[in-house]
Amino acid sequence: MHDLLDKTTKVINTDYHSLSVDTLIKYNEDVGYDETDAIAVTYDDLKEMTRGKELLLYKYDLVDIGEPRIVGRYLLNQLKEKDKLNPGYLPASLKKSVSKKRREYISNTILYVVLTLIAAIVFFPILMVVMNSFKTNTGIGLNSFLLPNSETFNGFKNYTRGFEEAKFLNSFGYSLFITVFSTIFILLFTSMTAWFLTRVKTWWTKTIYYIILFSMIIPFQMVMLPMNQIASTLKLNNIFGIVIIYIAFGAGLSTFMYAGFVKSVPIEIEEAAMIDGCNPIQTFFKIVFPVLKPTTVTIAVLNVMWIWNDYLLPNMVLGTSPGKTTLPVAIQMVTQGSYGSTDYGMLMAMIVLTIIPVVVFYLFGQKYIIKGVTAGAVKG
Amino acid sequence: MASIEFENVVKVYPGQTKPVIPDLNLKIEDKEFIILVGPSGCGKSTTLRMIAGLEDITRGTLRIDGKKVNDVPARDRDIAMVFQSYALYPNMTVYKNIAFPLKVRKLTQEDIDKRAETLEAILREQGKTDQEIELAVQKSLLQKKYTKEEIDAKVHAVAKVLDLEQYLDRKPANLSGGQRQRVALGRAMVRSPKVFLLDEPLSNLDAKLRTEMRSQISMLHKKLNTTFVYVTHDQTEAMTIADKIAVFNKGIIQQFDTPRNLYERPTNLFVAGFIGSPEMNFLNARLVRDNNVVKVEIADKKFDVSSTLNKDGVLNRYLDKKEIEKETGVKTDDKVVELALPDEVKEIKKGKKAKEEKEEPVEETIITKEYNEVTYGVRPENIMLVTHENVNNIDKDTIYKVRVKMAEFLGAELYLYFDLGGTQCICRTSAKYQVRADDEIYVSLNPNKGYIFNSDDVTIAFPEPSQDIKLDIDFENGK
Repeated sequence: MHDLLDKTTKVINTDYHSLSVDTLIKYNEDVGYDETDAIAVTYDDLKEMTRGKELLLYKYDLVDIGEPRIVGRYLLNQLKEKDKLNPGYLPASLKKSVSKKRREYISNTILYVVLTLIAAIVFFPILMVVMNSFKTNTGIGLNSFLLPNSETFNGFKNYTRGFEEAKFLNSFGYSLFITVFSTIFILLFTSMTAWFLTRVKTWWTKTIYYIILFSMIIPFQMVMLPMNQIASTLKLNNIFGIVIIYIAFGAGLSTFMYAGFVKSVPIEIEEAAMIDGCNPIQTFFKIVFPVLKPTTVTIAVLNVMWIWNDYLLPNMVLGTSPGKTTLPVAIQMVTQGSYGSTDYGMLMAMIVLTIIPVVVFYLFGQKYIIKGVTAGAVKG
Repeated sequence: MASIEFENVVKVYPGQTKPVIPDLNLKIEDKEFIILVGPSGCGKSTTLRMIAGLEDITRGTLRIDGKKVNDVPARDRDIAMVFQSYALYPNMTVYKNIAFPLKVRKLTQEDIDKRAETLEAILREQGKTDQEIELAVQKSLLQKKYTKEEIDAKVHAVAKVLDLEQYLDRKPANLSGGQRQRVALGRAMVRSPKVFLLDEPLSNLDAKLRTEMRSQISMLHKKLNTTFVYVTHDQTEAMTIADKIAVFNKGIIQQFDTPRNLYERPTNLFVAGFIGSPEMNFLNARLVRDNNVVKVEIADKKFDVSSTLNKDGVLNRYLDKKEIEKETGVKTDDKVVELALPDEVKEIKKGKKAKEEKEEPVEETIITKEYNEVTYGVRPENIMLVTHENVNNIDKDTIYKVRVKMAEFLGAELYLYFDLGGTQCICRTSAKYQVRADDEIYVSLNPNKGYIFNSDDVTIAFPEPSQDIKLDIDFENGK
């Protein structure tokens, strides 16, 4: 331990200079510290940098993490305000980082190029869909890679026709209802299940957990025919029944993901809640569920995306008449002409309308998806 | 305000056959500050968690306030706990963290009545009409939880005591360790619980902050005037703040006593070694009789320890088996009884020998076979350096020549490490002596300050406890 940390120390030097704090912040970014939180310098560096005026350092301004030391936010502000930093002196560790910076610049450039390429590849099909949704069917047939021109441009006709024929609003309502309620119930039930299965460790909870995991690896195509029969026997072949079926199919992955994250919730906070007077249900809803919020958003996005885009299950359970089934099924039905002909223009227009809600939802939830995934990666 | 009583409590963790706590009997009085101390894995945390209701009790009875609480869930025990990791709710601000226990809890009928009464008194003082008062009281009787205003007042009062007022809007992630610790304390004290449990609350703090918080907790106890149970593995922490300390080892309470008694009269070798810093030195020794005097033989030297053995009220207590059990709580077998005062030993021996082969005077008799091999304990501060000044006052037989292996300078004190009789010893002496590593020095084991432990590690002799010296000096009045 440095004596600096043990007592109040006066750093007094003789000549006065002023060092731009930006240099330090830059350095800080280079070594990966948050600029608002800390700057990293050694004690000797600090002495040099503050040359000129006395500077009072208190123990709590400094947090020792070995070398280099971290100077806390408070001190950084103090240095900023009083202009006490010495520009003539560059810490040795800072000098070293210059060449490191150049190397980083090159590797960053390469990374940008590669990522731009990947982004273009991913974005290309979407561009194609949007582009072709404004073309006539013949225009698409002639060359689907060209932008619409005066011959091939079809205006919004594809959109208006599809909107009517697919009974878009009705189908949209079906899709919305099914997606929203399935997701809400999946989140509610699987988070509770996962919490219970993680916290109560007996042979039977383990068995249930593995059965749930096992359900994930069975392909849908394998169970769809018997499932369809059971569904019609149980009168589940309606908009409410299909929600129950979605809960069953969505439970596996969601429970598995929740179980992973519940493990990272420290059990002490649950015990503290119990001592503070919570029963298990209060503990779950007041403590555990709010703590799991990032995970919940992640799982919500994953479920919304697959349920919204699902084709096979509503096709089998709800049937294919437009206005009484979900969007993907309705679109497929109306764009499919006789003898295998397909109205591609309308198909593209409907796809554009269908993906908009999911994309919007994803953009809102994206922050949490990334957060949720990394949190799990670090804590395990 | 409550007492806690363990009666033959056994705790076995599921899936294990060996109990963590084989048989626990402990009575904690109301308003006491009790510290459970011991090495890790000794069952002290389990004991605390059993009080909290976080671990169920395998067998036996736990009473809080005289009521059996074995099957009472944690939320209904009216206790508060501070965790080692603080266990703050990360999704809530400091304010909400502290307010949480109040928000969740329903009031008892007693509290509701009390509140209505106070309200009535206040309104009457304000000169409200009977009808208005009646209405307000009825309304307050229906309010089964704390009102927003009540919670707000309590949270702010607690925040003021703990100096947290400017942090109330922050989330725990944006607080320092010490601040988090204070929030945890605040959350515990806000609803004035019957019992306060603290599980190693200071071990995540740095040394200086720890000392600060230690005194803060001690003051908090005086202020709240309620029962505190505190778990730590740090004996310094235990010695400084506890009313009484329970020393745990392997799930068994070795001794439950005041800090002073633990230090001066440890019941066994474990307690003697655990309490005190640096640790007591333990030397392999033999109890022998030399010219009718009981002596201890260490490294081929024998010196008189009859001052510890013979003093009235010290060893005598250990003559009677029942007395031993009463005093120490340790089950003894007949072996212990056999260690007696020198005269009595002689009689026992004589009696036996007379029967067999007539009396035969022996110059050096081993006291009893069982007590031949003993452990001689001496605290580091009771090993004296032999100097020109004191050499004439020291019994020559207690002086040993040693080679210093290491000398640690601590400002006012000097710790010397050396081998004596095959074991490493520490001597704690004044820093005025100039001793360096590899110096050869003479040290003396103070024969009046030694502890003797039998082969079962039970204390069979300890020095006379130091006299309390009262500070009744009145300097200003010339007395």
